[in-house]
Amino acid sequence: MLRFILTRLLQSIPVLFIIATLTFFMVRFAPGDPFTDEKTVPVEIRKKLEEHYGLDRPLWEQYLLYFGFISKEVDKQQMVFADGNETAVYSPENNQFTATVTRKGKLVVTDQSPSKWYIRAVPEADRTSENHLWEIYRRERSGLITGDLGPSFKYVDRSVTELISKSFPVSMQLGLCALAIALCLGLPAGVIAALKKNSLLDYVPMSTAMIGICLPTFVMGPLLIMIFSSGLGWFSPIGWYTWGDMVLPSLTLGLYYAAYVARLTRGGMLEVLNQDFIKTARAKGASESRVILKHSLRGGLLPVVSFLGPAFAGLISGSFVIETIFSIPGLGKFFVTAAFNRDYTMVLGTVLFYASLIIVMNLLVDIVQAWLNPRTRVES
Amino acid sequence: MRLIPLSLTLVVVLGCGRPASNVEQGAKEQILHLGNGAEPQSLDPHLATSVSAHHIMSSLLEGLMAEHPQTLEPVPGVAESWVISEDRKTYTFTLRKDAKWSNGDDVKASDFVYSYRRILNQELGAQYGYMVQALKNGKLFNAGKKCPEGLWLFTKDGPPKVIAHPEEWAALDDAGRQEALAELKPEDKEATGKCTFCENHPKLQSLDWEDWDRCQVGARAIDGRTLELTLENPTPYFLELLNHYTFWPVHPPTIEKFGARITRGTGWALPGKYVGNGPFVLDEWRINARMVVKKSPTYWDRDTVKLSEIRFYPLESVDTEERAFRSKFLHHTNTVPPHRIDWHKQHNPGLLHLDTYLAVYFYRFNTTKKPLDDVRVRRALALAIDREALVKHVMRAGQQPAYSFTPPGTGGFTAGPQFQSDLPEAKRLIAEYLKETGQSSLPKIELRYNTSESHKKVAEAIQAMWKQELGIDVVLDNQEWKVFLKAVEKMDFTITRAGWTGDYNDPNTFMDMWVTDGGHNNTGWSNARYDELIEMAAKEGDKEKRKEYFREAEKILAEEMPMLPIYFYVRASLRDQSVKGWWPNVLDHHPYKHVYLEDVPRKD
Repeated sequence: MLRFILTRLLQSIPVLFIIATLTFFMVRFAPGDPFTDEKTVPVEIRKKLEEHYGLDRPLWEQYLLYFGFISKEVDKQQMVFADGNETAVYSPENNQFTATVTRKGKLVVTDQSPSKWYIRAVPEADRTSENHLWEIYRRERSGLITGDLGPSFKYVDRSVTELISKSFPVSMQLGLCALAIALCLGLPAGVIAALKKNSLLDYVPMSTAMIGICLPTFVMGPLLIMIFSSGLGWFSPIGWYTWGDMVLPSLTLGLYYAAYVARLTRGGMLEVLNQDFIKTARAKGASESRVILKHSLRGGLLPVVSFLGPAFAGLISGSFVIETIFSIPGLGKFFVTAAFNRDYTMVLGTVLFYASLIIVMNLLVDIVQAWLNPRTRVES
Repeated sequence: MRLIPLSLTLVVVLGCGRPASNVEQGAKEQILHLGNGAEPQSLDPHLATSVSAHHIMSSLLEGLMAEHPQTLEPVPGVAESWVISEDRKTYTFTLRKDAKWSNGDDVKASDFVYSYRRILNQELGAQYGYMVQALKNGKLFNAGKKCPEGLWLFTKDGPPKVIAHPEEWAALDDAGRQEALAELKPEDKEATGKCTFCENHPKLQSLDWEDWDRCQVGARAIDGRTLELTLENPTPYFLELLNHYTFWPVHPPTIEKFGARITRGTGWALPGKYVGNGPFVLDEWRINARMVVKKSPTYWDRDTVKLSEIRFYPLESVDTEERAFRSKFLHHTNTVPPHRIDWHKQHNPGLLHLDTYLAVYFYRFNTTKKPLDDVRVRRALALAIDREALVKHVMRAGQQPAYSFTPPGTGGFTAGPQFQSDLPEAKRLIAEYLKETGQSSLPKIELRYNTSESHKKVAEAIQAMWKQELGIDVVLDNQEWKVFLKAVEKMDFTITRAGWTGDYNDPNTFMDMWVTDGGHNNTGWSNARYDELIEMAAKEGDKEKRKEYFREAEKILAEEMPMLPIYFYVRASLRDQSVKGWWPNVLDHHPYKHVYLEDVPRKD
């Protein structure tokens, strides 16, 4: 089992790498960039912005930098030799260390420096005078392989990691509540419908479920707000501050999935209930509840489980529509707005995060299925 | 189906009472709840670029001037008095004694100088830094170009010494300059080892923080409470300009503490770290949820401030915002869904507000492309639109049809109609053009807009008008916002939708757009007389004369029609009756220190 999990996790690394690469180039090839605005940014300012975010470098270099395959040059410092002086000294404000450069290009660093310093000659074209011969810099490795997703282009003071880590718990809460509603309503409804096939207990919940599937969340959400918020005033129409705020969004999202779960459960159960081993169990005199809960539900749930794996990843990574309707600070909004804003790092961050979630969920689904279904257990 | 038992349980759980809504509770506790459009990207006044950020920053910061809540006239802010020099180029402000930062520090004249030094430094990458270019030499410094030529002495350490100021230097002829050089004392030469013109010195080719003094940008702290601002041109709207957030101060010790002097993204502009000097202090900022500001205990005019708290909600979806308002969650909405305006007109006439706004909706013509390179075609297209019908039947929110580019009443200037809808004339112009070029009909013209339902409606209406009246086939095309902007920038379009919102209350914010190669011109149009008029207006101190220049410029625009004005925006909003001290004005600025809430009797 452990080996199976490890292999699967190892397999996911190249998958994520390919996703990151494709996303990186796709988002770069979209016209416009983070600084395209109705009020055009002056050329000199744009140049500085691009320099700050490293967008002035060739694309392949940006790509390698993003992944952290090559290190970034930071704290670049042109050394200025005063007239007649043979050495130039750089000592930052906190005076932790001193870098001394001779005209011949020898670099000596004394005391504690945060990392190693490098030196190179300033190209002649860039030299502002004969006193600017050498440039010193440090190398710093950051990027994906160090777990750094970079700064957000749009939200100046925030990093992508911060944005995701603050919004994901919200989406997760909402997703779990919705999932609970979906399972609590959907499973019993599906089981009952399967058992009482072609009766009122089948028709009514299943047609309701059909309506639930057809009714998009952007209709359901406003409808619930109209009744329970504008009308009855029980809940807040928007926001995510108190427990009460969770009710309407969870219902909106949960009911939609409940409908799916109910239909899938019914289908799965119907199939299993017709199998010989159920007849055998009944013939052996097993109680009806034992037949349903122990024998048929296990098999009947298989389609629900395979549906729920990826669906769960979708549920907990947020929904743009629900988050917009209820103004919930979840992750879902970023998937859409990041692309519109050309917030390159944010697009990559959200895509990678979502991809990892899907991979983990699918792995969990496989494990649960192996536990539910003896046949798949043998195959793997 | 299953909602009924569920909701019944909820009733039991929550009890049957209807909890007090934000609106009612807010009126009791003086907490104002506002819908605020898009999530602001930053609250750093030097890096922010949006209206929604302005709304919040205007509660956190205060400039030299403040605004009268009704008329927007500049009233004393941090400056309690000011003196304007004869040539209207030098403003000397005296700061009030009791102006404080939210950490208790005094607001000093040098804080303003520091702020201008920061925003103009191009290393910061301030997108709106050009606003501060009104200061003398501000443009040179901001563009990172070399500073005005003068005679400077560069000492090994310490700031450069001025030997001949740029003005003096400019007035000298070659012989005079040689003489000035010869007059240098030998010890000066020794002290520096070298004496150079500005231009030749390496320090001038890449400006850094230290170069401020040498560049003599027109901002100087004479003492702790006296600030002298010198301008490039006598800018008649300078006091109004000071109300733009780019002119608001930042707290230097905080900026230094976070190393944010010329670096973006250091995180100083976040709750717990933010130090401002406005009537409110930043308390909470949850992205995509809300921003909370609380009354500042250190603000000099705190007795005027009646609100205890303002909560700004980033609500980009107009429908969500409207629902929130109807559920009494918000006191005021940022806007109203266009399709709901009629409904509110009938049902909530007391709450719906349609205010004129400093913004114009227009179409750009690509004047380098056939057939729009011919002025007759451009004029014909402009004359053939029935703007009255368009605003009445398509827009339906009380927009005003536009027959000039500058919205009426901008800084007291009304251009008046510069042309009229004139079908026969439009047809004649087209016929004349066709005859001259030997064509039987005009080729298909592409009209592009950024993807949006309302732009589409306008485009379709205009497409129909042109087809019906002039027989011109127009192909509609829409693009996603950034793709669209990029295409406009590259002038890769024939006709394109556009809008412009004034940055400050003066016609210049609209008119300087159309100067040759202006950053937002994007039509390929150029007119020497127009450029001259805009430049003259910039240098003119006399208000009436300026208006004459602008009027003539408007006339040129109407004659040449590089773009086609369609309508002037209105600002639609819903506002609860309990909100007082909130007045409509063209910039949609509402100084929150005058706003308060009053419990009003309600019907329900």
